[in-house]
Amino acid sequence: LSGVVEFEEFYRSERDALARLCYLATLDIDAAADAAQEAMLRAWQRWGTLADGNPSGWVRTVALNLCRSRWRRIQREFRLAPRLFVRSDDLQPVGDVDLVRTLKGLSARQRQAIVLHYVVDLSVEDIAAVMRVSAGAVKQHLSRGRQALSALPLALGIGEGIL
Amino acid sequence: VSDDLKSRLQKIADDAMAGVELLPSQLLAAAAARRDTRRRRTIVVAVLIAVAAITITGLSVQEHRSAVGPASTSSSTMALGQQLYSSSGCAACHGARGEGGVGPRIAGGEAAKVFPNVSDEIAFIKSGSGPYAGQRYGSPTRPGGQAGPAKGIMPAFGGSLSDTQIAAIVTYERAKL
Repeated sequence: LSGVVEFEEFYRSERDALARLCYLATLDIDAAADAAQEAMLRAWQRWGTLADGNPSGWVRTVALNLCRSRWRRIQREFRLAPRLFVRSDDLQPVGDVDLVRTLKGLSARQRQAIVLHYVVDLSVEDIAAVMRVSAGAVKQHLSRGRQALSALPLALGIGEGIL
Repeated sequence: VSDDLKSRLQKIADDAMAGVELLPSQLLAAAAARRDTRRRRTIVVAVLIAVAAITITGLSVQEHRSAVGPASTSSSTMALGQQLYSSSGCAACHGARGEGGVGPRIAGGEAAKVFPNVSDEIAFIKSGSGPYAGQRYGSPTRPGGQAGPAKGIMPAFGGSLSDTQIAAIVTYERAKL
């Protein structure tokens, strides 16, 4: 029973942040919700072995891998994977058009690295572990991401090299 | 500046995901069961399609044999398989003689070792290697164990080739490469 309670606490505290992280990684609401829900579901199924480790890191890694999965996209598009989340038809328009456009211009991996670094505050080594790439590759993704972000209008207040 | 960027990114995500709700934790068990049922059903349908394809191919070969004789039928299926192997992109990755390249070697009976059941090879070609990305696949009884890990780059041919065409390619690979 304590495992169930622990998981519920974990789920309540992490699920929204995970879905938002997935959104920033994909910029696709359905893909983000699908990946976050599926990752949480897998965590629930393995909670016995995950609880003593780093479930937050595990679920983040799984969710971001699902975000990148071509097979997952096909399943979603052809409705092979049932939609497990609830999505309102009355969605808010997303503002900050310049930043969104810049994020869209990044590759999926550059976007993931930027988001993990600036939103989740992970170190280069931790990002490498989540993305399953080398630290050098992460630095490259971050560098290119920063370059794109530094070209944003002054509204962001980013000068060269400040990020 | 990092804080500014962080808060702006969070605001973007908050706005986008405001209307989305993940399941309450109490419903996860039911959701897992529902998902697994759906997945099993998909696999069953895929297997049925593969079996049907093999049956149809077998019948068509039989019909053809009775009409024009065994040597001609066999060479016609083989010729179709050979032509499709070259023109559909198989040769580009696996090599003109199946010797391997971007994709693994399939010559020398390797395809049959990885997929002892023809239906498994057909299903793999139909789905591509995407579903197996990063995983080992095929028969664990193959010398050296399962093949892979799959790169996940082989496209799915289920949408571009008919079951009969895929069966012809598989026939050619297994007999001639």
